[in-house]
Amino acid sequence: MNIFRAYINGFRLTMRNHKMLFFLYAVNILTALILVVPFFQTLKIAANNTVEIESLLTGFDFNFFVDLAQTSAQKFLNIFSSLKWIVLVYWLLSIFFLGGIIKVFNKDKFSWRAFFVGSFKYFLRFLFISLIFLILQVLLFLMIWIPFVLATGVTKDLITNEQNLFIIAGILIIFHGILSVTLQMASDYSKYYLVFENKNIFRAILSGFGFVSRNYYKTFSIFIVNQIVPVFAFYIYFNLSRDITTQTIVGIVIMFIIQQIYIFCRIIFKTWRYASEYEYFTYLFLKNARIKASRMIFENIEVKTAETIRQWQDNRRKSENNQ
Amino acid sequence: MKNYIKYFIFISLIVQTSHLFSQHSFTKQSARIANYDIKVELNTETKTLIGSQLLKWTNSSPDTISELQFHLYMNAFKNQNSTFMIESFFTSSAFDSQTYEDQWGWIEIINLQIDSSVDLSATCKYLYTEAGNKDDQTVMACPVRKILPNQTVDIKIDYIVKLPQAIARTGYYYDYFFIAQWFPKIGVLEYKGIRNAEKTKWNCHQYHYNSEFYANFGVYNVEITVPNEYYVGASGFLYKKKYNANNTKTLSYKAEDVIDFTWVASKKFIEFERVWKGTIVKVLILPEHINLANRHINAAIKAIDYFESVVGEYPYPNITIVDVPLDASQFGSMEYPTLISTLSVSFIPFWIKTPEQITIHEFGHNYFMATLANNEAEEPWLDEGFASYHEANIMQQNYPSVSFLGYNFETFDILRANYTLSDDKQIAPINNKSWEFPLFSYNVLTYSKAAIVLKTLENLVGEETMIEINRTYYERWKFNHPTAKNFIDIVNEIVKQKNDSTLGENMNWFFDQTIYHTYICDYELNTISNKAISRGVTQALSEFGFNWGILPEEINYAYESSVTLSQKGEMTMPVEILIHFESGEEIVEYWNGKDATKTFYYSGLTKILWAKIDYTDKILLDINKNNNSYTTEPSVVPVVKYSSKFLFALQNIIHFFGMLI
Repeated sequence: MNIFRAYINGFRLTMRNHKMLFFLYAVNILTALILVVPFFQTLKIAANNTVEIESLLTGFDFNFFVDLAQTSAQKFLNIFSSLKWIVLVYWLLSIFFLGGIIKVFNKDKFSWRAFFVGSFKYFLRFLFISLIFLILQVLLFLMIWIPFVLATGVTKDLITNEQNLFIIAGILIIFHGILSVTLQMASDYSKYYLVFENKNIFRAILSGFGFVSRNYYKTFSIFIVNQIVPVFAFYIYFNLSRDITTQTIVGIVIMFIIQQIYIFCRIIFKTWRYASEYEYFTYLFLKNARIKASRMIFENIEVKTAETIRQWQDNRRKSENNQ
Repeated sequence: MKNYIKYFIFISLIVQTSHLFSQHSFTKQSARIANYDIKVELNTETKTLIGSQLLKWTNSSPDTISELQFHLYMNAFKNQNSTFMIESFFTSSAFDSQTYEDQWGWIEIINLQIDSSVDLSATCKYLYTEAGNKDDQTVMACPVRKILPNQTVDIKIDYIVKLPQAIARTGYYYDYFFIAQWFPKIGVLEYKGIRNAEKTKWNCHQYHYNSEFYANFGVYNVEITVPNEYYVGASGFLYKKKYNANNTKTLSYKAEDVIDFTWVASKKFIEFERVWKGTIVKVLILPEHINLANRHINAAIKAIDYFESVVGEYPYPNITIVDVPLDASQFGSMEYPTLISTLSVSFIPFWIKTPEQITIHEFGHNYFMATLANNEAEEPWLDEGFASYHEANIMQQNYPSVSFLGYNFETFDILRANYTLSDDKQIAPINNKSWEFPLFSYNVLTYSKAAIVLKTLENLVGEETMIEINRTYYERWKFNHPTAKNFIDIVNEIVKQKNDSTLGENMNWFFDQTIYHTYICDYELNTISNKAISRGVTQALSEFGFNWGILPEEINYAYESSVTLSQKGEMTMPVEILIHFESGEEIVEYWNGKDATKTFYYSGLTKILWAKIDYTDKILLDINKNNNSYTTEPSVVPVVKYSSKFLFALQNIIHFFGMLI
């Protein structure tokens, strides 16, 4: 299967499960609303009856927020400090629903039952894999950047001319990015192995790394293309947001709709990535399975033929002896 | 590469302008009390300077004196016990991990003679009375024979300077040398009538962590000897270059009517020049920042245009802008007469205007410090505050803020935020001596708050009057040593001429509150009251000439309305209040702000919708402008707008982390 086919099939697979997409979008917005509701209330109370807040309709008013900090900084800081918990909850939910996503990909038709069964069934093992890869990502970060930082302390050329420093840092960022993406891909394919072969976690991870290394060009291409498309989406959103004035409630609502469409697209892109990877993985997985099965069948036939011949020879020998 | 070629052609066309200065001598502009002829040789291997100077110093006081005092600034970096190092304990000083003797700096006087007398250096002693630190060696007092009023003496001093590793404006960084505060510099002998002095005494403070400098004007003839491969930039102008036999060259510089002399040397400098309105603007840039050369030059040109239009003519023939390595940022963002240092970063995008901002700020110091030579140690706001105020004006006029995703802010907004968001807004008055500022308050008060005090003053007196104040201040005090009082006297004089009754007899009330005290300004519009009073159908009918019929409710009612304001802080400022009625009618009220509260009453057929104190945003010192206004019909639309922005941001953030699984 070429990348293009994986991509097209992945898109079809994604759109076939549009109910799931809406559900994932709902999870996203509802999680965010946990903080937005108190933010709305706090801003409303903090603004009190000031006329200054009207300036926010025509643009950004730096002074308004500076002065808001005089009176309400702690209240807003409390909200912002809760962000880490919201991120954690959403991260866990994303792991939870990934099992469901893969499960429904494996069905001809979307079913809520399959989605939730998959979510519950694989959650703990997926969580474990994600944690292992999280640790690997941290180790990767340390392995690349600690030597870099140490080198800046001892290598005169690096520190006397920051241009060299930036160039080397830039190269390292690219290098880090490639390795990080590789880990991310291995994490994804480990999960597919877990679902399809029901292997234990460590064998699944090893199989994931093996799969990525055997098919690096294609898996990398699928991943990267899935990251490039959202950039175009952002470009479109960015230009639209510049042209829409949000001075009235109508403008704000239109902007809100565009923003939510953008977020919905991001959900689609994310699911599309998994679907493309899934398509590619299952194609290779099934292909290998078929080859294996054929080989087994052929080996069976050979065995049986040999036995039959042996039996025929035995029978013939017996009848000759009798004669 | 194309750009580089362009630059090289550019250089070859214009760099040969040094001949402009040969044999150049300018009209005497200052009293020229301390004149230095210095010969100095840089040893790039040992990081040392061998210096010999002849100082022609005039006793301008009416008294006979028997002691000379000198600044030996380099001794601030001699060890951990200097006042400078003790006061900088909270910083991550370069000396925290100091293990090598090579990284310290000091100055040692080898010989000191007055009018060819015997060597007096052994009789000199270090003064430490000011900070009570006996180990500080940054001020040296030398007993001398009587020096009569108006007598000029020749003081010959030989010395060795060991340069410190890059720290606080001076030192070395590999093969880059920033030589500032390097020679024995005589203090300022003040006497009654000069600044705030009551009697004749030396003004020669120890080198403090926050303090900068103060010196008499004079002429500096400096011969600098460096290895041939080094490029040099210096205060003043180069008038002679000589190549020596030992692979060194001697460069002769002259700086007239200046209070200091600073120079830099590096193998890597690339030189750019442009002449603008008779002033030579030179940039010595490091290769990694070459693309920023034109940005610095253009910023300096904008600064020249601005200062010449609102303050006065630039008094020197040239300005040299010196680039510093990023990792030696201790050299950056500093000002010296006709030489300023900037701070740049490779690949800095065009829309980040930090290079321009630093260049403009430091150029401003050639007015406020170099020409209007206030005592930077005792009244630092007179140079830093003024430079920041003018810098912000130039930035706002020439570099409109760039909006990113709809977010933008102006330079004065940042200065105001520095002050209003500081932990303790009443920690110290602006007019403190530099070493008296509590921890971390120096920058906020002398730069940011002082700048917004001056902007508030401009808003109160008007832009034209402020220009007149600036011009008068400059013309009257250039090449002299003004104090805050001198500036305030000029403000009072000009404002009185304008006869603006709202500002009072003079502006002392303004400076007392903003400069000499730590008062807070916080006006609040507490409430708006609209009390509906039934006018009765009959009265309403008769007023409108009707004898029958049903009248709309709003006509049947009148309103007794009021607006109540208060001053939550101690500061009182005259303010204007805009009161907006439902009918669209608007009234502007004036309040001198002296009472704790004030209520304005109205009655009529329409009610007050909203009101706003200081509606033209004159008082930048008001720490909370959000409570300056009040509306009876608060709109929730802006709250919805920013909540939806917050929602969108949050959705993106959590989605990002949701992909890392």
